[in-house]
Amino acid sequence: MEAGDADAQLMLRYAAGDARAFDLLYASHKSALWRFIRRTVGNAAATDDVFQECWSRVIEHRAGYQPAARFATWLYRIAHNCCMDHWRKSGRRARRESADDDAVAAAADDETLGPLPAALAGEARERLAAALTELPEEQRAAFLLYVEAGLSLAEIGEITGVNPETAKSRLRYAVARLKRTLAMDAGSD
Amino acid sequence: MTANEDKPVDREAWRRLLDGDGEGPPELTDARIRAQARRAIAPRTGRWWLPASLAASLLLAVLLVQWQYAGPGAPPAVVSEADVATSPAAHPVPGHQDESLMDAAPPQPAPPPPDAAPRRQDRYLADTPTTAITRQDAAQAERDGRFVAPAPPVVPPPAIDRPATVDTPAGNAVAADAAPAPAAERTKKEVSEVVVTGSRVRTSETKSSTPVTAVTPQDVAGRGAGIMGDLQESRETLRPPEEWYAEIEKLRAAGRKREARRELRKLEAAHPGWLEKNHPPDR
Repeated sequence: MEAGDADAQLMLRYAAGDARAFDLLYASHKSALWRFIRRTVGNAAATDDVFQECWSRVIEHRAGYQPAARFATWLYRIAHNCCMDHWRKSGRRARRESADDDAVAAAADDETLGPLPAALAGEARERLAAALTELPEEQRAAFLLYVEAGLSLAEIGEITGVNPETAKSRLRYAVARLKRTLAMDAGSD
Repeated sequence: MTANEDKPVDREAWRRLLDGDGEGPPELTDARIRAQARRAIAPRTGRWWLPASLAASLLLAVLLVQWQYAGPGAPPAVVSEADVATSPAAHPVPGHQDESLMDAAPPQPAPPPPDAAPRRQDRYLADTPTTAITRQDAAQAERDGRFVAPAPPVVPPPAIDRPATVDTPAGNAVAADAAPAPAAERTKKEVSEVVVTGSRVRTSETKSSTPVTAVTPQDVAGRGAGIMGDLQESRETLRPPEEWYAEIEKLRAAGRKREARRELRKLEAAHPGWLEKNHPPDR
């Protein structure tokens, strides 16, 4: 556990019976977690179900919580598993990584395709949301865990069950694909 | 890991882009999750009613079963010959004879003289010496500074299931007639159940003409209608004929002649000759 992880302390206090600690914990993580699930699941109705299921598991496993890692790592691992369960139940075939990702990643190194100028130029958020849904499952998880949850590559690797290098590679592929999609959308406008 | 590896992507720029719409869970979801969190850590002290209601139900069931078996509607117990033989009441009591079997049984030897062996009740009274301490004695002892133990409760002699005057020798019978036996009267009042266990006559050389019959609850249920008919008949027999006849007159006056005739026939059957004597046909 990182020194001074206030969230882990709050979780321990909640496990000891302090309801106020849970309120603080929930308030500090609910928006980011909601967006992570929303971007991952891509369905508003399912987002609510998965979000509640995630916090239910947090509440249910409060007694077994061990602050061996950051609280956020534990929370987003639960959220990631809930999303996987949702996909499994809904029978959705997640888009997998493909061979042309290397070409996309190479194009991402081109600094002329910066995301922000293109995104800010038009309906950037909607385009980004749409582009996220087009990402392969693993890349989207890596991107959202990195950007939304603020986790490190090692933590992302721990959550998704890969080593940090693979997590980094997935992140780069995701960013490159998003840049490309946003640039193409901006060009078509 | 280098700084470039630590930050392969401009996290803040992408986050600003994603955070722009200010998304978050709806308030209802917030409330549900917070309520669930509070419920999970709430002490479970309000569950006392569940074991209490279970215990009350169990107690009620036990009481009901006990009441059902101890009440007047309890099924009759099956009495077998073996039970009669092993029960202490089956041992013959000298001098006590069942009147219904007196005719069939051969004459029994005369009861032993009163001096030969004391009667059971007399023996009991003789074996339990009592010291009567009157109020005067207690007052005198108090004045003398002596301790007087409180009088022990008077223990009544055990109830003896035979009439006081039966098989009593002549001299004792006179005494019994002169002073009615209080024990026998108490016995009459206290008896709430009569168990017929068979004859107590010593009949070593004779065989019983009425073998023990086991009566089951099914037999009793099957005879229910007959029992009710018997009860109705006995009730009518006990009915005073004058009162009965007055009701018949009322029926006649009311025009219910068919019922009146039927009641009249019943009256005649219950009290033969009464109608002839008190209300001749020519009347």
